[in-house]
Amino acid sequence: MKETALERERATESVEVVIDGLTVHLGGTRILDDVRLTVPAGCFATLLGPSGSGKTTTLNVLAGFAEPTSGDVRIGGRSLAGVAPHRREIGVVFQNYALFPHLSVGRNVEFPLLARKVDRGTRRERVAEALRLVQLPDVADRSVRSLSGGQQQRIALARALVFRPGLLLLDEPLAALDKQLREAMQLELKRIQRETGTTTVAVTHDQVEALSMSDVVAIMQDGRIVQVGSPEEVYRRPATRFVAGFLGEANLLPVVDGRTALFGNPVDGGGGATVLRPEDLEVTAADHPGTVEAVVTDVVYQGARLRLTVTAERTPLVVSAVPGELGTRPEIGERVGVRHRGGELRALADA
Amino acid sequence: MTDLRRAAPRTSRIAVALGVVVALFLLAPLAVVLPVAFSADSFLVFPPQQWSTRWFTEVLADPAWLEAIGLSARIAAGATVLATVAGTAAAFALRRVRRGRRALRTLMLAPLVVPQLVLALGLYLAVDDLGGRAGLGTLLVGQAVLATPVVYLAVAAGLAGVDPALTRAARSLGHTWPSALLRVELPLVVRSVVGSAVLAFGLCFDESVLAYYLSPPGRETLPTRIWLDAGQSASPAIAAVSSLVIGLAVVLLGVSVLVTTRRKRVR
Repeated sequence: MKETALERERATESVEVVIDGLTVHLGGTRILDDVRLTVPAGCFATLLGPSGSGKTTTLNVLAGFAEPTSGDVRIGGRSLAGVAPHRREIGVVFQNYALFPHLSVGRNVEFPLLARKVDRGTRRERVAEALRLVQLPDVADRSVRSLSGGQQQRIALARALVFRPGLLLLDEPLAALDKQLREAMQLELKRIQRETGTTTVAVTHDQVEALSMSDVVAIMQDGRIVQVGSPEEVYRRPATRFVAGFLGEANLLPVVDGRTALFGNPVDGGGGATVLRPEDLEVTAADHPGTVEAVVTDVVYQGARLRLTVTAERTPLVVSAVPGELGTRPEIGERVGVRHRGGELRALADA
Repeated sequence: MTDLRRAAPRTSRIAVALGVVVALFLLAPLAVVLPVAFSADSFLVFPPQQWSTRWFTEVLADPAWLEAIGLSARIAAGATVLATVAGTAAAFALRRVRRGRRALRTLMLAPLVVPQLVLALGLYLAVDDLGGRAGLGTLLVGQAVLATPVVYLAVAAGLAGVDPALTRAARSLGHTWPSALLRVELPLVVRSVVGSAVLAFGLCFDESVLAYYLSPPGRETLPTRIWLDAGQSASPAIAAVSSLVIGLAVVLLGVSVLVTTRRKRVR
């Protein structure tokens, strides 16, 4: 089958991407500050951060739309310093897809091949292949405007992959889709990325998206990368308060003599605080042995979970509970016990 | 929802009334010229005593008028080509300029405000200084200068509606900037280019100030010819020619509007 042949070819083409000390100054402000990241061949990396953290600038530098003040990017060992955007062999999927409205879907996907002087027969083959890859084999003659948002996204992806780039860049790839479609497309993006084996760097401000799609997450803040790790690492063992707070709900507890306040669990590392996720905590009946006394201050039903806010020794804590598991639903003002479910804890750097 | 979004603010009655008055004022001369053109009399009399199309037939059979019409058309066509290329190129260039864009834009629009008389005189002296002789070539260039801002404005407006991400997409997909320009940006504004070229032609065809100053004796364009003729005779032929010019202007304007608005419907 052609797809498997394509797959094999792609897999061998996978290359490592090294972002080496990128710094960007713009009119006196430092937008990027010594950004370093190595993305192994075939890996899906996500730059995650709030707006203004420098993630989009990093993407623009990678694509060649912005010049770094210093630093370099290497793809498969080849430096991109001074290489024009059209010679970089990088596929970009833009936030609003940037499909050419005056061209049909097929012509859009064919567009990169025209620049590469690919003969007509091969062009047609490669376009068909790319459309099959994104599971839209029959839309080549349609106009771009007639496609739904999700379909446009797939076509943008097909167009960015049809010339077999060494690196795929995704700029907020799912931001323009509604929630349900977004979840379906997360899986789809991941599947396509795995199938082609293309090294990928995505940019997003959505932590759920980042955690569910990526092999590696790099969290950015104020033009720097503050932590790099697998989704689990960055969620379970955030390096700083910022990372802990940015990746979902976090209860920050002070660490006293190597143990957490309230619960007294041992903590690795030498920082002054640690993070307990809401699902690490458990609400029990009051006076249950081995628990900390607390008062329920808020109860929110969220479908799959019950989000409780309790106060223990004047410390507010967010606790996640499975509805129904508690027997009766806790009321505001009710006295309960709270305990830590156990597991490794790690101190946060104070930054 | 859509109704709320699309509802345009109501036009006030005063604005409508004012608009009608202005339109009437602008169209009033037509109310005189058109009837006179269809007169059967030998002199310019309003209202005409008898009706006929004899003056149209006469004008269209007169080699002097035909030559003037032909000359006007040829010069206007040449000027249109120059203006379209220059205006379109300027619009593309200024889209890419970061520093000094406003100053350059003002410069591009200068021909709209510089008195045509000054432009004519300036061209005449410049050509003279360069050792040449002002003639039809000078006129062609002068008219192109006048029409360039019109093309520039239309194409720049068209380009403003083209997402800059499209150009970057084309670049990232492997196309050089000229290729991206030709394959993406230009096709997306081609209606603005064609529409403004039609307008430019109309503008140049009945341009009179530059033509009066720069056309050599015996080789007059249509407006100059009308002017000279009006000084010598008072025949309704002038009204007939004027009606033809007005008719052409209306047709060109219509074509231009059709070409440029179709694009919006497709979107």
